[in-house]
Amino acid sequence: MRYTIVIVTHNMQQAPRVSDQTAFFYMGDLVEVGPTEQIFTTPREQRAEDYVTGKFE
Amino acid sequence: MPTHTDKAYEAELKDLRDKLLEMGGLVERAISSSVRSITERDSAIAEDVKERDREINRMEVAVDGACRRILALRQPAASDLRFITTALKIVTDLERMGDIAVNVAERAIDLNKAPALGPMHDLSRLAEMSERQLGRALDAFVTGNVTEAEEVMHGDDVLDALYLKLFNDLLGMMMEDSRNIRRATSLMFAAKYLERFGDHATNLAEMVVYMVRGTDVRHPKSRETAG
Repeated sequence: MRYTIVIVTHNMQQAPRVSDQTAFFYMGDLVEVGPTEQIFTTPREQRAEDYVTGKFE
Repeated sequence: MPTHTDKAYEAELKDLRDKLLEMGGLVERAISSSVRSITERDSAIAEDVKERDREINRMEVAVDGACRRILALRQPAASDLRFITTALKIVTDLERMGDIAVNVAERAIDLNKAPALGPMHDLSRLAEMSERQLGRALDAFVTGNVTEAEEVMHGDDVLDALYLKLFNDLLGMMMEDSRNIRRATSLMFAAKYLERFGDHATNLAEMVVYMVRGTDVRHPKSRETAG
């Protein structure tokens, strides 16, 4: 039996520590999804980039 | 362009960028002065370059410290993380470039003790090109201009070609008259230092491409091919 665990968090240290895949949602919309390493080193979407670098107004 | 919500973090990143640029400016001045001490036969300039290298070394330590602090306290991600890793890499290149300027200055002091050996226009040109390579790499770093960084990477071939020409000319002078050997060897070293200086500018440019795009463009021929 295989499991998928979904963790919803705003903690930017916890998210990369616990996950293989990361998805960034904003106001109910999926902005970007991909391997955790990619989301936290080279995100493609500007809004994802701004969020993980702490540029959130 | 949005800025960091944490203004102190924003200021730390800006301070790091400013430190690197200041250091780059010092290195630019060092290399142009060291070559001028050969072309103008002024050893006082060379002594000054040696003295000022301490400031470049101090800045390397300061930049390293600032990077470590940000890594430990801010856990940077995405473009910030790429900026910090780039800073850590290019600060080593810049420090080494400062040492190269000192090496050229040492050759200058040696050369200035004997009569000049022929015209120096090729050495001056090589110096101008190397310095320009650094200037453009720093410019690409500040503006995040990948096109300019790539031009720096390609510009290294022209620099290498001029170095090779200079090398052969100096070799010719040595074969013509063995009394030229000592001075021509010093000039050969100076030329080699300048060529190496250009290589470090290329390293900087490659890191800028990584910082902006997140793709590593170094050592394309050493990559294992997929499949």
